[in-house]
Amino acid sequence: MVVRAPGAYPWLTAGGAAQSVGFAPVTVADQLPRDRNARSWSKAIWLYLALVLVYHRSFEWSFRSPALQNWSTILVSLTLQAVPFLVLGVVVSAAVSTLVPTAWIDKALPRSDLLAIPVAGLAGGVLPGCECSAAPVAARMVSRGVRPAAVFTFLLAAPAINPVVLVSTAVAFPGQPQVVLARLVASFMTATIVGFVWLRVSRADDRLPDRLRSQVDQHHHSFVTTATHDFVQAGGFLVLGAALVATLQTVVEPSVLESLGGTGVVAALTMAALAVVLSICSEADAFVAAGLTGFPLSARLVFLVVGPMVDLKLIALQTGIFGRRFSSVFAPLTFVVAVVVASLVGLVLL
Amino acid sequence: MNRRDAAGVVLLCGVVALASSISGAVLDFLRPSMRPWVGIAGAILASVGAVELWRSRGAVAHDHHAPPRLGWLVVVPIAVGLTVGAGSLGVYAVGRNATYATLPEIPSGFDLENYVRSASYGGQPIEITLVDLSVAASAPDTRALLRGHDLRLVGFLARDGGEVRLSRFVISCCAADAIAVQVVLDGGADLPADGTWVEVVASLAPDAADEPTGGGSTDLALPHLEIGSVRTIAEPRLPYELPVSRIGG
Repeated sequence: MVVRAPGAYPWLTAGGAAQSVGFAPVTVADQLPRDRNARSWSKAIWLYLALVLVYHRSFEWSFRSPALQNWSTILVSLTLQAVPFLVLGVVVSAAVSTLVPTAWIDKALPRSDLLAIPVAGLAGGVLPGCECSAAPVAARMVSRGVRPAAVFTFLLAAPAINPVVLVSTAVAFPGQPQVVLARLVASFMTATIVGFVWLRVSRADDRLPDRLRSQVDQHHHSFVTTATHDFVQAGGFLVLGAALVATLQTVVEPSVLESLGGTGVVAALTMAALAVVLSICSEADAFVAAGLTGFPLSARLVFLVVGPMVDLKLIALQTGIFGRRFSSVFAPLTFVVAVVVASLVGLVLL
Repeated sequence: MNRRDAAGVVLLCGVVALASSISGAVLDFLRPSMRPWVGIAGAILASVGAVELWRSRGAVAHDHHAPPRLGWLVVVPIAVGLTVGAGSLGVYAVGRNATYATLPEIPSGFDLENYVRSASYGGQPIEITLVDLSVAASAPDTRALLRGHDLRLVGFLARDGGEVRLSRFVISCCAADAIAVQVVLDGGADLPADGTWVEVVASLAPDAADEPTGGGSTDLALPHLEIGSVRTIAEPRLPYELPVSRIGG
């Protein structure tokens, strides 16, 4: 089997370990052919890209499947939409990495965790970022020594309660300001509760990759190299999530999920599942929620709270940035807290 | 994937994003307000990729800072999109999204009465989006305002059962959140094939639609129109409508 260095993880460690996945057993003897193999693969990919860039008009005639067209349109939409936000996140995080002194941000936060976590949540609410830009920035903050619990509160709050999202919610639910208030309250509460749980769970930070905890890597890399690396790594996982979403949107009849419908707990869980599957960006999900009139308002609140925090696209992105060990705990934890909090807030406010 | 591959991928993404923003291809996938941001992001990516590609000349293949192989996935949307010729959502998506189309809740804030008065001045057909029309047709008092006026609509044809429907998608962010908006064209049996873009001049049909429709249910009560004239057109530069009317705001 593949021998890994202690602490190394195939999704995260660059270069050697990642490249050996899927090529077991690897011995010293076949290192060279493997390298040559990888190089010829990359040559083949570049050749195909060159071909398709030049001759795409003739390619298009040979593929006329409506389902495939639909799949590719959704894949391209989700990816293209994320590009400006991902670039913003990568540029900010590369700037944090190369410009901001270690632990400077952490000192700017209140020393007490009881205060630092809500403050981080509020900071997320003020910055008009989307989920795709928050993740790289959060990773960089962790690697610069900011307390992880506070960073994850920021990560959850930023896409959920920023002004742009709240305004679009108000537009989508005209004459129902209580929906905006409920979304704000439930999202903020979810973000801070997950932050506190992360703090209490002993050794939760052990789930973070060494790369983020050691604070020694990446010091000697330039802005451009860091940005390239971050974009390609986050982007790869983002595309994986987007492809999953496109497949589900193309293959699964939406009416299947909608027909589950109903009331109470079933409705809330259905809407939560729908939010995870659809992976709509937080600025747009209010409009879709407004259209799902078969569900009670409190179930639609669950959709609005879960969507920006846990969805297929985000889980893939977080796995890419924080590692599988992290997201296998963080995503389910956030999902459960979000569903419970949103349901309770819905009972009180809606 | 080595450092040079990663730099090449970033450069390619940047160039494609920039080109799609300049050419307007981005409008097939995103709302128009995203267009300049995609262009700016593309320019940043292209410069970063170019600089990194230049700097990594002769870099060792096994740089410890090389991104994981999964990074190759970044080129998949570009390769697939170009190979199959991804464009705006079409008839296939209408069938899949129709169940989301419960229109009375889509906001469309504009003063219909005022608009009908000024737009019908001189007796010309009133230009109206399918969203605005559907919202207006869902309530008796606004439907009365449109009654008797010729309406000019743009959309593509999509048949459902025996009905010919004029269709368009409403997007709020990107094509993944598209909601189909449809009206029924009565007596449109000999219209062009599904997927053809048309400009229709039509008026609200004086039928059972005057009964209040079942707004709020998932059951679609689409407005029926009587066709005046139909003209085949090329796909508009903006294939999607936006939830907030371009007239209102």
